[in-house]
Amino acid sequence: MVAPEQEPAAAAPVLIAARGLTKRFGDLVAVAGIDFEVRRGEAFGFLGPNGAGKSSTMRMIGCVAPATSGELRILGLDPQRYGPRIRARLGVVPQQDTLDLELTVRENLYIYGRYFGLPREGLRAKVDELLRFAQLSDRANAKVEPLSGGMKRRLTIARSLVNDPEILLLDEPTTGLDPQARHVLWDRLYRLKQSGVTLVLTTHYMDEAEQLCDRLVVMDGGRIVAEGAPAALIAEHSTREVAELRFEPGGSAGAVERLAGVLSGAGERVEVLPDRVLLYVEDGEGAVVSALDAGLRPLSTLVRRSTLEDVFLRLTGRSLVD
Amino acid sequence: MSVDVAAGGLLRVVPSAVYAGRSRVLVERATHAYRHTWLALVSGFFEPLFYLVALGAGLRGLVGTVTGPGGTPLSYPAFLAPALLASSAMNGAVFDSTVNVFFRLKYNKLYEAILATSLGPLDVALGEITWALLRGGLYSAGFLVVMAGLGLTASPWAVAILPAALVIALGFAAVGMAVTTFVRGFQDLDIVQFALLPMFLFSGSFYGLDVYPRWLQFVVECLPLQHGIALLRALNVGAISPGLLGHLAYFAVMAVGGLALTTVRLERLLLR
Amino acid sequence: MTVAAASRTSAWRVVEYHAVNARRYLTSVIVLSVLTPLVYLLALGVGLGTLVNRHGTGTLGAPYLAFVAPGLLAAAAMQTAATHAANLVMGGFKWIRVFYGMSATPLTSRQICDGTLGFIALRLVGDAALYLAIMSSFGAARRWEIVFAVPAAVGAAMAFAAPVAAIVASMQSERNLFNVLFRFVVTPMFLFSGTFYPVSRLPEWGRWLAAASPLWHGTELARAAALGGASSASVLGHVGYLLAWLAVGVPLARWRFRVRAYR
Repeated sequence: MVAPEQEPAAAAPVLIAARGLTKRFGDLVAVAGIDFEVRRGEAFGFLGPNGAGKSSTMRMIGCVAPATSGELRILGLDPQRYGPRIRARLGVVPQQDTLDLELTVRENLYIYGRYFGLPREGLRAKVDELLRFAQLSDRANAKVEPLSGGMKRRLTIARSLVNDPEILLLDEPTTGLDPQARHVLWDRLYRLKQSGVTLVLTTHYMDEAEQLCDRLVVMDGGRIVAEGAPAALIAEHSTREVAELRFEPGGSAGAVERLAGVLSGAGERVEVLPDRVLLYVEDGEGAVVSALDAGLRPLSTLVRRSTLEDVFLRLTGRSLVD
Repeated sequence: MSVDVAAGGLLRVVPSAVYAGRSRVLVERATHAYRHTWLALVSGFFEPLFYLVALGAGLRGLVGTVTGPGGTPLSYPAFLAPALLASSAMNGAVFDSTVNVFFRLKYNKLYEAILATSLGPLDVALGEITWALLRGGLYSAGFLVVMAGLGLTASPWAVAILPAALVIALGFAAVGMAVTTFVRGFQDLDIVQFALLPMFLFSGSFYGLDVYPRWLQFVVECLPLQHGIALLRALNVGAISPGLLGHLAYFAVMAVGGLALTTVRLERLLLR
Repeated sequence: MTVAAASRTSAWRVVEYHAVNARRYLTSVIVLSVLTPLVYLLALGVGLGTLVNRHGTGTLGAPYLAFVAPGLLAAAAMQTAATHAANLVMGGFKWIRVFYGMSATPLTSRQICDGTLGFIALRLVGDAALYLAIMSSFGAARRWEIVFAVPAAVGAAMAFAAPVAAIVASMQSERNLFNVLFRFVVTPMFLFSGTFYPVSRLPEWGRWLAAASPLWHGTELARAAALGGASSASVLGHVGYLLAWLAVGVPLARWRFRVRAYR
């Protein structure tokens, strides 16, 4: 439901509502008429390959790109008319850090707060708090440029919190970070969610989506191709288990015919890659035994639970998009 | 923050998506940023001084007495000084509004970050120009003090050189920012920088326009810097005439046109 | 052996890299190399020259255009050299880091340094030759010996460029450095090295400043080539001074390149 165009009551559950949201750049359709709703306190994810339209959608929500057509309400307001008013209540973590290289770590937080018109006095305490949150207190007076990628990302996230936003927009928050840095960031984001901030994020890390998102949509070619909670999406679009059989490169030829009898349940299927055969089945161990019985001789086998990655590849295909 | 005050009325005519009325925050940012590169700030003051000392002292004997505005006979340094001040106002304003702004627009992504907050593109444009003017105003004031100290000011009207230099800087800064929004890379900026050189050399900095044939005088009279030099030179000797208003009008047109174009372009570049 | 052959010639590979890189901007480089001298010669040689010639040129020994042109040639070479030394070295080590890519090949840091300085020198020879051609078209070339103004200008410019390369290679951040370098060193040198008037017109401190500056020695040599009348002792003195700068500056640059490349 699209909220009426006015300041929403504090308890209004829907913070972002889009209907038929479309973004065109000339002939290119980046976002092709999508519908979604984000509720207060939720962690909502946009998944999709590069070029799926995630960042364009995020920029429209951030009120820095007008929609070509369709309806969008953020905090009950029309971004076309109330851009600055909405942005005053948003936190934005862009895909690429836009830190101010001419300023120190502390000054980055302080001046960003000033952009929002926050008064100087309260801001100093807020900056100290954010430095602690980002674990950057000891680098407060350092220049930004020599910081590690993880530190810059934490600083960008801390900066986005300077105005106590109601909604935090995160465009690929952990891309390019090492595992330690990612886990530190997830921990920080989880804390924010606990404190009641609504998170909207894009990612192409499935583990990140499973860790952070209550609900997500999968986008492909500017459209939403699936929507739901991570577990529900796996249940709907994949099987319980996946058996992976590894062969010499090219050794998987002819596997489909031999495996015809192995599949039994609804939704079970075989995917043949040059050096691997994937069996999407309810009972992985059983499927491996059946495959060996059918005369397949893989180099190694692995049985695992289905993940969001299987759903993602199923819905958006395996071919390289870039 | 003269620009902020002047723009106060803008709040009523410009939609809030473009202007939040808080461009002074950009000035606050600049004062922080330049704490780390204060030498860059200080060095700008010395450049016109070096020119004045070197060319004034060295060429004085070679050139002799020159005829200034209104037929006033002037020593060569007194003839040169207002022109150097006008050129330095131009150079400073253009450098700030092209090279520095381009860096923040394309590399630092500063304006992208700012427009994700509740500020608008006109805040950015006004803020950067205000900063350029504050900085240029400090340099001009310093240069004027040196001129007076060396006895190169020729009338009480010389104090008006300071506000006039700010008007010149405002015109160049506004046009410079507008040009920057069209710049694709640093190669284009080299062209902008190079365009200033013939303007500096041909606009009568070193000699009166009377050395030119008639048609060339007419061409040079169209150049903005020539108006700046003529304005400051006239103020220095106190040759006040209604013609000076024409020079001011030239820079007013540059300022308003440049600012309007900058705002439209920043919106198109950053909010699409 | 091919490896030995490669390492014998490979400072030229670095020159080649810079040349290929510069080719992308060839049009604007050529346009600027023609327009800059044109603009300076017109404005100062002809425009300011009108005032000077009107007042009398007895102390200069030539009309102002013929006097100022060789000075402008040397000054332009010095400015181009300083700009290139600063940008190519900071670019190679910091902005595009191509010198680190080179030092992962058989190229040595010394070859990277020599190749970079060599490229600048070649570029200066081309610019100076063009300058000379434009000067002649203004009638500012009065005798054939003026061709020696080219080595004089390039030598003085490189004498300055080598230590600039050494300093830039030693610095991590360019913002303050480039400001100090250009505002407090290059511009004063341009103004106080006798380009526009004989330094005898400066007070004593100015004459000392000029005497220290490699550009003044280059200007004197270029002017001697253009106008004649210089004693061989003074020519030798200027040449010796510039060679001394090169003898210190080039090893200094090689050393700083080595420290930066393999740190």
